[in-house]
Amino acid sequence: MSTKGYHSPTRRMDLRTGYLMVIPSLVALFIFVYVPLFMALQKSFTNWNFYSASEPVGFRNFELVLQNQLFRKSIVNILWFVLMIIPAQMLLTFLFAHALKGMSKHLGAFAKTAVYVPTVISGIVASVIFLFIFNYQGGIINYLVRQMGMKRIAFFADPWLARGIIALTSMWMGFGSLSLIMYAGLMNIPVSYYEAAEVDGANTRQKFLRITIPSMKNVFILVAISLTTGTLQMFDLPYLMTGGNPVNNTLTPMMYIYNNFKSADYSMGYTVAAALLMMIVIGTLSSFVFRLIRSEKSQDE
Amino acid sequence: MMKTKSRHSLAIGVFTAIALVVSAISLFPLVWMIISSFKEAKEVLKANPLRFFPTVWVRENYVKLFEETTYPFLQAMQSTALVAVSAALLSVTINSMAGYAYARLNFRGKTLLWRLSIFTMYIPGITILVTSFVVVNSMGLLDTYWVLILPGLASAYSIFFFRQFFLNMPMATEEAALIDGATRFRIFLSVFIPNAKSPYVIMGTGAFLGYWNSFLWPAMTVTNTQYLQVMQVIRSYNNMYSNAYGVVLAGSALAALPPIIVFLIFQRHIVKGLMISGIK
Amino acid sequence: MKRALAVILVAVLAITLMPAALAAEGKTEVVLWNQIFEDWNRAWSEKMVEEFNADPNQKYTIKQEFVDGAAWDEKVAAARAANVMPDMFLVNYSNLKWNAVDKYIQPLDDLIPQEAWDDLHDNVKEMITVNGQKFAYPMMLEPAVVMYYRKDLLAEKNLEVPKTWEEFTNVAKELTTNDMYGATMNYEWSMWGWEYTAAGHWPIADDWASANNQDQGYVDLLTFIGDLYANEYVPLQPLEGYNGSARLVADDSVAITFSGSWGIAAIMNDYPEMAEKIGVAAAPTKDGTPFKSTVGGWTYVIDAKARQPEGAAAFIHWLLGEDPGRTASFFEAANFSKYSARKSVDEYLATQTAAKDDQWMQTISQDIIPHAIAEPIYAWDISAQMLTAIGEVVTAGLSPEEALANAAEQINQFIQNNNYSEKKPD
Repeated sequence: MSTKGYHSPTRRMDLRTGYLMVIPSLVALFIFVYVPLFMALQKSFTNWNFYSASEPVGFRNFELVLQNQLFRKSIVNILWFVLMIIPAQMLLTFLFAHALKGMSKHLGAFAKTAVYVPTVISGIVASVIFLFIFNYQGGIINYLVRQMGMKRIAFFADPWLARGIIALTSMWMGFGSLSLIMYAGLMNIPVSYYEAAEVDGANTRQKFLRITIPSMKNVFILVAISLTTGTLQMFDLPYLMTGGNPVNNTLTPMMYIYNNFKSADYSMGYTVAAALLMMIVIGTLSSFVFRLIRSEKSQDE
Repeated sequence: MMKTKSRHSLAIGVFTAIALVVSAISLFPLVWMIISSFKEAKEVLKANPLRFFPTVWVRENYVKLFEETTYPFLQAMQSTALVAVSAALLSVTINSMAGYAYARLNFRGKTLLWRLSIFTMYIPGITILVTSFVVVNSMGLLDTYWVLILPGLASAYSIFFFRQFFLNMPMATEEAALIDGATRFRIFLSVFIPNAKSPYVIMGTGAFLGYWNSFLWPAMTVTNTQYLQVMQVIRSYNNMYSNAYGVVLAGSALAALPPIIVFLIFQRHIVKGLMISGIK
Repeated sequence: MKRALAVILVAVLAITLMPAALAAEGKTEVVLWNQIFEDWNRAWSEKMVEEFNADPNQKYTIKQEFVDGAAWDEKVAAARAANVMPDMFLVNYSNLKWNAVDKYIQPLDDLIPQEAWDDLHDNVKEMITVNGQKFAYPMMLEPAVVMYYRKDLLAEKNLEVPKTWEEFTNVAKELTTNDMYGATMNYEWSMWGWEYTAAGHWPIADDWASANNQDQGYVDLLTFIGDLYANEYVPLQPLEGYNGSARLVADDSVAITFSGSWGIAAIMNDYPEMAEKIGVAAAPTKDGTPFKSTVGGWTYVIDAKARQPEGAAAFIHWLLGEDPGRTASFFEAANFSKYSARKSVDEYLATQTAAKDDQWMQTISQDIIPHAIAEPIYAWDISAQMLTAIGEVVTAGLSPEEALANAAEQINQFIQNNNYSEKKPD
């Protein structure tokens, strides 16, 4: 699908129209993102004091961030979250999209609206609900556990269980909108492809591997990158549910940065440096995910 | 024939079961939220698996919500609706124009500008929290609707989404219109937009939701009662009344209604539209 | 033509000079940023500002704004960066020292009369002094560690209020049943008081050059906590965050709990009928000597770049340092869940208000406040390592010595990375 090769008489118009159409977004991005970003970047190389002159400190802030034990722990934690959430969520939403495809019109409409609802519920409410469910004394899960004669489980006292529950809550919140995107991707594959394959004698498995998966690659990219950037910036849920506990095993980088914001332990230059480092992490991981899925696509062609 | 039919019923059964289970898991918290908003203050927080329904149904939480004069809830809803709707409309306009331009038009520096736009997706909000405040303050925007609307309008993800969609539309209609002498912009208006209901709806409702639920930026930039946003008001109850969770839930339940209604109205368009999108 | 110009010139001059002239006749405005606290707190603040503004003897008028606590730090940081801070605002004692060292607030020694300074408790004066200068006038104190217990449940089993760790462990054991835990022992920031009391010093050397967390006091503390968890006299997973734990004794979840003095307000508000069954006391120590709780609380400070520092000081003095009755009205509104920093106000409360019959208030004023200490000001990273050590004992089964040694290593590494000994303010 080429976008090149226009008639020259229209080319100059392209230029003007092109610029006119991108200028509003560029101006907005410039004023409200790039200007503040450059200001922040400049400050990250100083010990940014608001009232006195800021002294330049070179890369010291970045150095300190990378050496900090809590920050490092938060990076380890967030990588675990990424591993727990992304593959599982992609698989589940993909499967559910198939289920949606197979439903009758009315059942499907009901299901689509139902799964969208959690998207609308704020992090505060979601965290309260899941804290309730897994409450040690009166939560429904522990109630069932005791009914079965076992001892209560201290979900939030164990690092892995605590991480798991936060991951679960996060997945619950994102399931709906991601399933809809997967569903749309599936619906978009022309039926003719499948019919042609059937004529050629392909079985279900072959149709799936040779048609469905390659056609869905772009949707996978969209969903995967969305999940990656979202999960790497996770803040609300662990902040509200565990406060980073047990012993900082659910501390995320964004939580660490926000905590620094609130305390006077480090200068604001340090805090911004940490945020800029996270920006690099997010960008890097997103490109990695993009290449990972994209390269598999070219193999199949 | 019989075998296909019973397999068919089995399939329907399975799908129905899946639909019901997933829907129940998704809807349960909303139901809990609404029911708990009718509980007495201390009952709300005490986790008790056997007491799903309130022992006493009280309207007190809702009454408190509406009677509060320092932080009027209804006014906050109106104010937030104004901000969220206008911002959503402006946002899709700006971002779809950019998406179209990057998808279909050719101009010098296009790739660079495109990369610059997408790069902003990787910037965590907190990096520029303080410095954006400095910027908007120097522009004199504090305590106005503008400070709530303008900063978030251009969204990299939104531009990306629109671009993917527009890349997918068949060239045929476009070329025909070009030969007829239509300008690019005219094509955008009369060909692309009408066929692009779904991304507009998705991005529009997404933007609406983002503005509706925002707390930190409004808390930092507006203090005048007439501009207060609904999340600010809900959270302030938590500070003002210890154990005000019932009020918070009541507020959250009411605040969750408009986005759900918006989604319900537009959801037909979403699915249908995305069917054509084929983000390729 | 010339005449017209002259008239215009005069008119323009008049219009531009008039506002200035008017202002000179009216009062000067002073801006105050308060936080959104409890509704009774806000009502009191608003009433006081109204009274002050209506007073014809005052040269200043106060404009009060309320900011949400959840956005407070961000808003203050942004306001400082954009240079739009108010003249005065509220600050927590724990942030006070650093705000002073970073020069964000100004000293008040010369702005507030000496009698007001003399009226403060000595330990409180220390909390607001940095480099010999006083940077705030204290509003109220909130001890962070108060023990709440169910009088009726202890009485049923003929148990005395525990004063030592041994007694406490025993009481917790006796009161643990299938439906209720004997006690709670959250390990969060609240552990500061326990740490200092157990060892007599902070886990970092006085000069901030090395860790100092391995003496017997700390080992005993971790042993004590570890035992409570190992025997399950406390819930393995916190039922509630530390700040909200007071309600746990009121709703029959546990028999004894710890929380800040603000728990009293929570009980009075939400479980008034349980109030008579609940008692308060100082936390237990290893050998029964007084527990040194850290004390937090809010206080008024004046911004370093305030446009009207005298106006701000005038208000602060009027509100907090003058008439004891006026200041005492705050504590009455608070149902005595917060504590005063001034001797004259304490006296007023004890003799002229309902406080004299309030058991809780008496206990806290007499048994807790006099021994209270300021919160530590070293980096949270260090406190976090101590909590990690506790966590390792409780969940990973390490011995206290091992856990503390691990923490010492991390703390020393932190000190080294950050050149921390140079950070210490004098």
